[in-house]
Amino acid sequence: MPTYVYCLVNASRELPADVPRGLDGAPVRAVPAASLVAWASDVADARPAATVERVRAHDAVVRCALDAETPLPARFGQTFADDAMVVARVRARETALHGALERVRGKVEMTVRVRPTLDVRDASPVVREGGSSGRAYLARLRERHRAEQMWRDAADIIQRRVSEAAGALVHAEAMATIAKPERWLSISHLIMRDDVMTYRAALDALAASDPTLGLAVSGPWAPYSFAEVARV
Amino acid sequence: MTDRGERREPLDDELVLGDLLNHVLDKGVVIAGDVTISVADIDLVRVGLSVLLASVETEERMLRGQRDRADSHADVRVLPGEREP
Repeated sequence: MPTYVYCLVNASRELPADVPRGLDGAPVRAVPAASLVAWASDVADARPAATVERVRAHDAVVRCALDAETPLPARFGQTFADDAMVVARVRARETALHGALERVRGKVEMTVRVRPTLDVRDASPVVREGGSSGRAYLARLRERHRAEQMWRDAADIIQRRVSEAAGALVHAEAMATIAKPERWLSISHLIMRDDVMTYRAALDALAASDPTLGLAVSGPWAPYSFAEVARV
Repeated sequence: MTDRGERREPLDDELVLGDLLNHVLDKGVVIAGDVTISVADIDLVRVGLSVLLASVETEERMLRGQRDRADSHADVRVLPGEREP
């Protein structure tokens, strides 16, 4: 049966007795791999389909790891032929994975979602009916580029404001924009575990000072946005 | 947006679920190779914040860029009279 991986932790950690069940109710076990340990479970399907229930189960296991010490969270859907293959894959990238775990040690991720109530948010590309000439096409193209540029400019300004509000609490930042169904800006910050309350207070103050930002904070999360290592 | 086109502010639960999906499905360490995720639950799409939509948008943008470049080349060759002044 394939082995599904939830996260990686330091080898010195033991699996707590109260670790929740994993995907489809499978018991979670520790798979030692060199200087790391993978928290894993059996899974019936080598490519488990993503459902809300499974995503919640994945995160629940990762959160359990986060309770005591920051893990390196795995992306959903990673299965291996068996435990031995997990060990082989982790060993093959041990230096990079261990380095990534060290970078997030003692830290958590906070996510700021911004849905600004600015006119620019509505500057989505306009597709006009009719006008099949090359000139009309170019006009549509210009309009689309203009709208995209407006959104990028607004996103840059918002990112700066959010970053300034969080200030020195931020150890790393990752930003993503989500264009559908409406324009959103998602900013993730890596902060120290002890700074969560201070961080929230700073962002709450920004939200209160400018309600047009439509700002909402979630977290602390395991550092999903800061767990990347170079692909092989 | 509602069915009547009005803007509806998402509930806190929706925000958290949206962030959960974005984090767990699109981020986190990839131990080996690539991860292909199949979707079995319409709720993932319905929540409206899903990374799946963002991924589709990214792909569309890339394809559109390729098409635009191809079309702009075609414009020069086929419709020289329609180029910008």
